[in-house]
Amino acid sequence: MTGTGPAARLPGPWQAGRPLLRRLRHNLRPWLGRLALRLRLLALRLVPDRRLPLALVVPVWNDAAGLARLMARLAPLRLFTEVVVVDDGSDPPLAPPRLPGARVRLIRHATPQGGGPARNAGLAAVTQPWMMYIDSDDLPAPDLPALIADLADEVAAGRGFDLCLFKHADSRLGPEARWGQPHWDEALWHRAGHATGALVPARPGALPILAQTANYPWNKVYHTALLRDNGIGCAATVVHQDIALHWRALIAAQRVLVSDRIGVWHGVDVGTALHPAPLLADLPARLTSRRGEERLQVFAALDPAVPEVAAAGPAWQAAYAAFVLDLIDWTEERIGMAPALRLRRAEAIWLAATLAPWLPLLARLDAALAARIETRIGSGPAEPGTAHASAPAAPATAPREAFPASSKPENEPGPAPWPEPAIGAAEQKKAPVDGRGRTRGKAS
Amino acid sequence: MTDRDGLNTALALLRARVTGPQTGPQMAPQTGVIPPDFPARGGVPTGAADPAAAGSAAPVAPGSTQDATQDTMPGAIGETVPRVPGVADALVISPGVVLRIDPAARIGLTWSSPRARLLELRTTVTTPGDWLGLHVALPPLDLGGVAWFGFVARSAAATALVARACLRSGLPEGGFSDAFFDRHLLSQPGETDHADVMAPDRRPDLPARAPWRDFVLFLPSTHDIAWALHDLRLVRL
Repeated sequence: MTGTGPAARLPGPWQAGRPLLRRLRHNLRPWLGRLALRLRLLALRLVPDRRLPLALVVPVWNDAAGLARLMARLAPLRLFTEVVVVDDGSDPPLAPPRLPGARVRLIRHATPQGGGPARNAGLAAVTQPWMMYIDSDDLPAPDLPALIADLADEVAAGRGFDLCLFKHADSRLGPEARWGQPHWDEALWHRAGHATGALVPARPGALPILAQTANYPWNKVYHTALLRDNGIGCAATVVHQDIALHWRALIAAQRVLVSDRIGVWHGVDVGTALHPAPLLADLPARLTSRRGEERLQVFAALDPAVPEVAAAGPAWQAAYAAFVLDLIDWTEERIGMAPALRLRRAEAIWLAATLAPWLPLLARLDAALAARIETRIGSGPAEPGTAHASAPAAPATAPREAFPASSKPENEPGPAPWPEPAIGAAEQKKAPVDGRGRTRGKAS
Repeated sequence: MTDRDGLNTALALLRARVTGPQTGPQMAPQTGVIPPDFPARGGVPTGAADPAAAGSAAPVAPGSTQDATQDTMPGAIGETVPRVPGVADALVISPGVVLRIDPAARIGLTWSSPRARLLELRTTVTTPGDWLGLHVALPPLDLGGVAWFGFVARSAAATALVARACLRSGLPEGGFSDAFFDRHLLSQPGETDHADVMAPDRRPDLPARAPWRDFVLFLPSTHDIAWALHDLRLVRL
């Protein structure tokens, strides 16, 4: 209406019934609003959701701030159709988080059970065909949406996949103004022929090499059925719960895609110029700070993958053996003198019981590696804590001797109270493994 | 970052083919392969009318001037274009984005343009060449009064490689002049960012006005490479 002055305000003939119309409109407004909402929901159902049906499992222990940060980063991305948060006995208990576009479920453990059982509980609750893990103190990286969109295209084109392995960014590179993986992992990607490539099927022979990268649970997108059908999950040990998940999944997967996209940012250290300290300031104590006997549970963590590795052939056996030797060296650097002596004794026993049968094949495939194993089996101290003071260091031929070992558990959701260490590796080897890859009776 | 000058139009088109709305067959993710023994490849052009082809007798060098004319849109996407009879030395990646190869070389190319990235390229060198250049067409660009012209690139390579960037300017009398950026671009396993600028008023090899300009990234043409260009932005300050 553009008129001005008194005449403009006089009701015309068409305005005679205006109060009635206004009342009608007023009464209809809520109904119309509900109708519009229903129509929108109907449209959402009719228009196919082109997103990958992807679940996210987040294990959390006393890190409400980290979880809130993660959800805030995920909210605008709308990557996940389902989120399962496993509160591993936080005190106080976590409040249920919210994430637009996703069905969010909160599972709570009454008492802390550790990262492995928490991840397994999350996996058991997943209802989507694909899933991935992100810990509460990690973050989605900028390339994750493109990666998941590529995977959605793969699925839409009828090319499913069992597992997609992608690169990650490690906060320890921040002080070097770099973005990406530590050089030891990058070297393995290079060796495998996958240094570049947005999304490609794994090259023949690449997987045993890539398996030697850090055994993280969150640098992969898994076909949920791959894990469930093969009873694959994390170990219930205090340390290195992810070894079984990592190796067994890579061996069992039929179609593996590999992407050089950096999907997850992994917070390891305190803040840097690129990633300010408040992001990590309130993290709970990390497992890498553990320097006691509990680290000897590494052998129990190694056991669940052994049958699959043994059956997968010499390339996998060699890869696992090299990984194990590096992991033990890495462990030794992080424990005191007395546990180190017991570690080397347990190593000799474990290697003799587990890897010795592989030696004839390994000797043909990688003589240096076989020699390293034989040396370590033969050099274990006769008496615990006595003769091993002169235990030989790994030979200089060790492929990644200067690197930290791959399975770095520093990002576990929380240090659950651990039981008295079970030293005897042989005894641990005999511990029964349940159908989901967990060693029963351990650290639970 | 606004792109008032249209410096990044060609790059935006390349990026949009995958990330943007896919409205036609030309919007689909692009891939392509040229075998190393591509039949139209080979021979040394004489009297070539192409800047890249003309360089076969005189390798491109910083500040060099070549007798040639420019054609930034030589053909359809994915098409190899014979610039002189019997020689195909250019591959159109996208409108305004062209790979130019020394016609004397025999280089197989496999390329794709993944989502949220510009280009992934693998080469198989049978006969080494003097150049392999990724050309990005720029709009007519008056550099008078421009303090800095530069670029930012994010790249990775399976094996570390060095690339060199230049601003190629057409000359009114024909031919062109190359003004190279000072810093070498290092691509290596794991993505890295690179930035460089040049000050046009301190570069006598850079004409302030030119009938056409290309931004060129020269890649190794003597050995196989696996290279990924995640992002590239040109800036004028």
